[in-house]
Amino acid sequence: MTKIRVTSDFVTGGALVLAGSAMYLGARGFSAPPTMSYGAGFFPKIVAGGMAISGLLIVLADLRARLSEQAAFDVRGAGRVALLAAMIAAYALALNPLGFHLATVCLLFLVTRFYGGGWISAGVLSVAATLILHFVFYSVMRVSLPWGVMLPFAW
Amino acid sequence: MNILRGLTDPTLLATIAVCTLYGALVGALPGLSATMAVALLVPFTFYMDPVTAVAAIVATTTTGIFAGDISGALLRIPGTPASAAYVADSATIAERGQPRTALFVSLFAGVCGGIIGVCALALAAPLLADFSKNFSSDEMFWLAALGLSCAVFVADAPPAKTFASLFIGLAVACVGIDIAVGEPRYTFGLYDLFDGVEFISAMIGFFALTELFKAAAVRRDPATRIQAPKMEPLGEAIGNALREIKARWKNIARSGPMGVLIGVLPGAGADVAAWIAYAVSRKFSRTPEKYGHGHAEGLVDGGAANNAAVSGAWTPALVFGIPGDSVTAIAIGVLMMKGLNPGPDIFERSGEIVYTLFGAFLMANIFMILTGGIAILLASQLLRMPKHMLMPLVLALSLIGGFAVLNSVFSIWIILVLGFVGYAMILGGLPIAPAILGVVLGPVVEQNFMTSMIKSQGALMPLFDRNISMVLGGATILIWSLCLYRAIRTILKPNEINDAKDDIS
Repeated sequence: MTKIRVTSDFVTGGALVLAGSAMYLGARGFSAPPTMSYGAGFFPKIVAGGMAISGLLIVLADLRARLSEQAAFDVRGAGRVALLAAMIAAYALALNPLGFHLATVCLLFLVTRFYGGGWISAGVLSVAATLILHFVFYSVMRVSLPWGVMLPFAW
Repeated sequence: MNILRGLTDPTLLATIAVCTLYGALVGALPGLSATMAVALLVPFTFYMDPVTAVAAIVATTTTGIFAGDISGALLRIPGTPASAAYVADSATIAERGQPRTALFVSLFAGVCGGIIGVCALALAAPLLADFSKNFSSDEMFWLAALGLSCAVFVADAPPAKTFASLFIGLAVACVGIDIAVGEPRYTFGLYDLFDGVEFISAMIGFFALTELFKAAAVRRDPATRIQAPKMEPLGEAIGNALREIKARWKNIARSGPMGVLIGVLPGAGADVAAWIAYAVSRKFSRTPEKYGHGHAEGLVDGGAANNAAVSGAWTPALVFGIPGDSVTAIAIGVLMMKGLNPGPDIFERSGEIVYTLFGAFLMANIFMILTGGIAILLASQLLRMPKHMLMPLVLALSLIGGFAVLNSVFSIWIILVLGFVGYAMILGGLPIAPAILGVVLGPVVEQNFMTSMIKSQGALMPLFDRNISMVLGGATILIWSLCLYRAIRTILKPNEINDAKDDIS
């Protein structure tokens, strides 16, 4: 039995075919006005078809020429990306209840440590950058940043 | 005489100087665009007279568009969709230790393009207005479709992968309330998605977060540790840039007027101008294989075209009240607020103000040499920063910048999701830039197509009925067929591709 070597292009193309098919199925539920043959689903169906065909072309090209590297999964790298994403998600969840200032200081501190910064530089950077961001966005540009629990001390 | 007197008014000059610096600094920050800079300026224009108010917007836009190149070159995060067209070139030049050269090339090309734009407008505004008057939704649909095809030319990836990236961007553009029947699409019941995905959030997600994820994945890999950045002396950078501009004057002479013509078409704007100019530049270049690998030629063409288009976009705004881009949409509001209702007779009604406005454009471009230079000097310090300080700052700036666009935490979720999509695309070898073009142009393509279909009651042939639409439609279909042929040939004759790869390496 021939063993299929899974390459990165094979995975990419396959994922695009699946995504395109899912998008197409979703687009089938969109309605068209009674007098027209082109409705809400027309453009998404074209896009979905295009995505699936592109994926198929990538897979076929890879099968014919073996252009890409063998698919490899870097568990450590993926873990680090997931950790950074978790920090951003936590920031989004904390921004309104905790307020811009506390949430941003925490995020900057953790992210500086994450990228290899020392404790002192993380502390200084997180506080100083938060104050500068406050000045630029809140004071100069009048963006209404959430105060959260800091509301009684708003200035 | 009155126009000259108006232009030498110290208040007006001071406003232009301050706003060019403001535009340069805001535009240089990743996640903050020229549109945002102008939007934030609007409350201040309440207190200005009409000419000063409009001059403030013009000055901010002119440098804001250029400054988008700064974060593009230094951080590989384009500040505007226009900068995305040539970000691979500018960032690669910067990585080679010549960040200031790349930025001064952008600056000088932008100034030249801007001046060409102003001159063209002042001389030919009525003619250009007449030409764009002939454009209906049919022509706009074909023009936007033609703009999409540029993505296939500019990307340095196999055609199938470029198409895939473009369709991912178009899929993102499908999210939100449908323009034909008002039906929510792919919103998963989330009201925040009813307005679709805002393109600034998309850009931050695709470019900024993707870079941060890439850096996170290799955080402890010593081979990928950032070296102390090399920064060439200021004099050397200016000299290099001037030599580059001098050698490429023909590119500027071609892309400047092209930018004006594209900018003058309603809805096209600086983004489309930069992409088309870059694609044309690559097509006619003697060294197309260098594009995307730190070649200044595309940078000159794209930079000149996008600043020229900024001037061009004002023609439909002034003459018809149709915004050429998002900035002129805001500007129309300010004009109306000041009692200057845009319309075909604005040259008769408010000719003095309109020509003073063109003068302000010229001044802004000249001031930009100084203020843009200051912005480059300040921003290039970014590269001296160690990675553990730079990355958190970019992240915070991107998230707060994204939040500020809609004043909603939901923007951060969009940025996060699209960051993941962008990172997955990078892992799969798909280029990012075509996806951004899809997000920007997708709604334009669909809206104009649906308008045409409603007019023709679903018949497709009327899309080719008019002369201009026939030419544009023919060109678009031809280009797309060629691209599809290239993609299929990759499968049928894979050895050619392998040989070509070997030749390059």
